[in-house]
Order: sequence, then structure tokens, then C-alpha cells
Amino acid sequence: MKRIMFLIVLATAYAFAAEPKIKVVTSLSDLAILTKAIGGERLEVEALVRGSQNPHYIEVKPSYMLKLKSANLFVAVGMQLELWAQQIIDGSRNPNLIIIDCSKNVKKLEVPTGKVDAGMGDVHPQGNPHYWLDPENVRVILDEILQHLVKLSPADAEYFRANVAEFTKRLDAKRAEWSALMAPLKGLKLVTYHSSFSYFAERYGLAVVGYVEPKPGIPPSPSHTAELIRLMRSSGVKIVGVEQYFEEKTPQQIANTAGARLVRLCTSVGGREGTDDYFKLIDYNIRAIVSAAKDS
Amino acid sequence: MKTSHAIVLLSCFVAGSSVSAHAQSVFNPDISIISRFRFESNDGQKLPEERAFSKPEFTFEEFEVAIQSYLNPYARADVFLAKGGAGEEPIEIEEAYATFLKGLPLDLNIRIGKYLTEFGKLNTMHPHSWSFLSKPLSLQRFLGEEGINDLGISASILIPAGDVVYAKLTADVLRGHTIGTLDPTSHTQGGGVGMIDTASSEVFYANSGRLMVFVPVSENGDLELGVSGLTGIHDPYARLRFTYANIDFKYKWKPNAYTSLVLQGEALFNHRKISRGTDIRGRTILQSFSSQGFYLYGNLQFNKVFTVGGRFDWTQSPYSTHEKAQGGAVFVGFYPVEETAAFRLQYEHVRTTSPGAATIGVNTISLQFMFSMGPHKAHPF
Repeated sequence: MKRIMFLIVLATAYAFAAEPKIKVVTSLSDLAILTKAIGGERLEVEALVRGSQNPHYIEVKPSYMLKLKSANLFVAVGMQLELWAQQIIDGSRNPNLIIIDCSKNVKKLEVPTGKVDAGMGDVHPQGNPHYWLDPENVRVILDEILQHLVKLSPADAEYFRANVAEFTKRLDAKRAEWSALMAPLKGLKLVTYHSSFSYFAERYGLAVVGYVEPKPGIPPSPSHTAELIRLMRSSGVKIVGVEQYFEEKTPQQIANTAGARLVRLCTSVGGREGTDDYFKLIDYNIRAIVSAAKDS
Repeated sequence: MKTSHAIVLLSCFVAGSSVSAHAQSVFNPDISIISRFRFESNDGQKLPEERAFSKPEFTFEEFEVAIQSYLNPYARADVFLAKGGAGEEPIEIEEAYATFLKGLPLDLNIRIGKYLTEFGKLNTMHPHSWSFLSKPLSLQRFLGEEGINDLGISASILIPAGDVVYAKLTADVLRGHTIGTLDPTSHTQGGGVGMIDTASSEVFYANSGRLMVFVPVSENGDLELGVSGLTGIHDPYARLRFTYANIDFKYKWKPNAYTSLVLQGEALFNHRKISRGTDIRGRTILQSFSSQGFYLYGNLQFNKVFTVGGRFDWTQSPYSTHEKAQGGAVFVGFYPVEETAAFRLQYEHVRTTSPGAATIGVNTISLQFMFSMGPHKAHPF
């Protein structure tokens, strides 16, 4: 009997001693990886969108609402990339959910001027939201998430900061490596399916001269395709980059006709094999572009 | 000096205007418009021996305006106005309700207003989001063309079912006046002995409820199961009650942006008391009566712009098991750019059986075009 009592007391003490982890749900897998880098084992982190999915078009599923119901934080890219998120947030019925918009302090590209309407395609009124593909912006993202985590759990502040410092150190080393690899390609012209690589291209001095889509989110048309091929020929474009979630048929035809090479790029962690973390994701894209530039 | 004052004043005015314009655009509700047009022909307008497809008729099916906004951090409001036809048909309030989303005990959601009730799966969906062009026969007959769309109050609660299974229970108290049914014997829509008959001044509420369970069954596949019930008075003079039970399922498999498969079905069971005249003492003869109906459909998206699907319907009448209808439809959807513009083509065959009359089969071919403007939110799953 005494032994049973002892076990019950022990189990109760353990249950009280094990503090519940902060639960973070992110929209993209990239943000999940970065949040994990800050919070380590003290956070429970989950992403809604898989790396292989197009983050612009995500179905509003009750299972996503369930994930947010018990979450403390929802980390989003912002800039209206996750237009679907508000319904999931509302459906979660979680009045205490804190929403982090990582784009707050990002230097934004391609911010449209004047009136924005559907005639411009699925244009984002606040600018191009694919900023996480510029490694320099990772610092801004980490800082934004860190601030909120520290507020939520001040006792863990030093632990979080130390993790950020360690991650940033590693990032700096990789940034130097990536810059060295990309330096010879400065001015390289390429075409991508969607404007996902604008920040990446600006960082490494690449010139994205056109898109397979005639306008953001609009499927390619024959006239646009013909125009793009003419442009590629006249500008000497030898690379057509296609994000992991787009079909290959049209870009392959464009590449074949224009005498270019199709390269499968990846916008998110886990979107293709060998992109399990942020470093591997950028490694993957740089390797793909360097290799295609060498061969063309 | 005067000029500089004028410039300062003008600047202040311009700045003030732009702030006001900004504030206005920030606080304006989202406004969306969805229009549906139809080109249709059928062979049911003449005697069977003279069967021929009618001259295709071009109709303005519906013009819907959605006005949606948050009222405050805890609640939002949704208003849907609809007008059928391009003539002098009235503009109707299809739905107008406020939903209290957060901050209530037990994480309750409360909805108040006029709305499509959560009874089954299809009832809450507007026709533009269906894969097909015509309402399933069972829902036409038992719920009427407008569905269960009534004034009321709804409360829903999430039932704890672990980290994977989402379970929601919804209960409604409805005014109970506008639930119409299609009585095939009267050849009118909602004109049979139903709750649409409001000549009685007495108030009879209707009650409805639905339990839904959503289960992700694989990385790319999700299953939703639902059980619903609805009860109310269908004959206000004799105070005769009806009860509907409904089971529904929807499975969706979507491995990538260019491929998806939806399988969905609902079965509705009707039980009601019906008056069968009076006996020799003048007392009403009551009869308990049951009937049912169901539909099943599948829809496959096989590339970015095309979908193809089929539906099978079978139903009895709310008032007779001998009044039957069954049919099938095949449909193709073409979304040339995005879902902002769509063409849908449907062929439907419906066979109606009435006691003492020959079975009538009608074929209908419909081509629909619809466009949408604005940020009308997608229907969840």
C-alpha cells in the first residue's frame, strides 16, 4: 500500500514538475525550422504547410484549426501570402493565440504602386512575400520570433538568445560560402515560373528577366509563352527555374525551344529531397543554379 | 504669406482626406460579387411521343453580393444578397448573420441571424461552390430549392477528441417558418403542406443539430463524417411534426495542386405525421409516414483547369413513398485562369414516377458561366 502511495505521489510530482512546452504552429516549414532553431526542445513546433505545397493555395481544413486551438503562437510569413490563414485562426476558437508576422521589419521588394486589382493577377499589395529565400532576411525573422518567445517565456530568454547566436554564427559562415559560390554568376539571367526567387536573385546579383506565368498566379498562355521564348533568345537566358510545386510540361517546352535548361528549384524546407533544413534548402538551390550555369 | 497659408491649409486638407480615405478603406467590409449565367435545354416540355430538345434558353441564374467584415476582435458579420434573374425579381437577403468567434465560455461559437443551417454537408454551401449545376433530387424534395435557410440562433462547440480528430457539435433553434419542401403532387416549389405555410399566427420553432467529425486519413486524404437531425411542425393547423435525420460523408484526396478527387454523399430519412382526412366523428385521421432519399457524387480534377464528375440521385417524396425520382448527372468544369471565371457543362437525366401515371424521363443539358470578383472566402473543406 505504501509503495502504491509512493508511486502516486511520485507520478503527481513529475506531472507538476514537467512544465508544458510552448506550442508554436507556423504556416511554412521554413518558419518551423527557424523557430525550432531558437526554441530547441523547449518548444513544440509544427508547420501547417508541407514544403511540397504551394503556400498561396492551402485548403482550409478543420485539422489545421485543431492545431491552432492549443497553440500559443502562430508564426506567419505575412504580406498576404497566407490569405487562407484567417479562417483557420477564426476556426481555432483560441482567444489567446498570438500571431507573429515575420515580414514586419523585412525590406520589401516589388511593392506595387497605385491601385491593385485582379487584372494584375494574384499580386500581393504589400510586396513580394518570398523574402525568406534571402539568407540575410533570416536574421530579421529570427529576431521577430525571438522577441515574442522571450515575452512568452522570460525565464528561457537566455537559452533562446544563445540558440539564436549559435544559429546566426552558422548562418554567417554559410552566407560567406554561398556568396563565394554565387559570385561568378553575378548578372546571370534566368526565368522562373513564379516570382518566388526575387529576394534570392537580388542577394546574389542574378537577373530574373521573365516568368512562365504571365502574371502572378495566372497559368501560362500560348502568346505569353511565345513572347517569353523570344525574350529568352534575345537576352541569352539559359536557365528556366521551376519551383517544386509547379508542373514541368510548359517550362520544359519553353526551355527546349529557347535552348535553355530546366532546373528544379525549391522554395521551402522539405519541398524536395535533400532540403531538410534551411541550410540544405539554400545549398540545394545554389548547387542547382551553379550546376546549370556551368552546363549551359 | 497668404499663398503659403493656403498651401498649408490645402496640404492639411489633402492629408486629412487621405487619412480619412485610408481609414475608410481599412474599415470598409470586403465586398464580393458572384454571377451565374445559364444556357439550358431539356426535352421534358412536350408529350413523350413528341420528344425534342427545347430551344436553349439563356438565363441569368443568380447575382450574389457578399459583404463580410469583422465587427470587433471577437465577432464577424456576413451578409449575402441575391437576385435571381435579370428582370424585376426582388433582391433577397440570402443570409445575414453575426458570428461570435472567440471569448465565450467553453469556446462556444454563436451565430445569430438568417443563415443556411448546418444540416448535412451541402446545405451550407452556395451553388457556385458545388461541382454540379443542379441540386440533388433528395435535397430538392425534402429541403426545397432554397434549403434550410431560416432565422435563428446557432451554437457550436468543439468536442475534445485528441490531437488528430476534429469533432464539432452544432445546435440551432430556428424560426421554423421558411423550411419549404417540394411536394411533387402539387407541382409547386415549397407549396405543399410544409412549414412555408405561415397563415397560422402561432409560432412553432424548429430545431436542428449536426455532429461532424473530420479525420485526416493520410498525408493527402481527409474524411468528414456527419450526422444531422431536424424537427419542426410541418402543418401548423393540425400541429403535425416532421423529423429528418441525415448522414453525410465527404472524402477528398489532393496529392498536388493539379489533381484532386472528391467523393461525397448524403442520405436523408424523413418521418412525419400526415393528416388523411377525418373519420365519421369528424376527428382527424393521422398516419405516421416515412420516406428517404440519397445522392452520391464524385468529382475528379485531372489538371490545372479541368474537372469531371458524376452524380447519382434517388429519392422518394416527403409525403409519399410512391412518388419517386431517380437520376444521374455528368458534369465537366473548366476554370481557364483561376476560379474567378468558370464554365461548367452538365447533362442530367431524371426519371419521375407517380402513382397511376407513366414514368417520365427528362434530359437536360446545361452550360453555366460564372465569374467572381472580390475576396469571397473559400468554403472550408
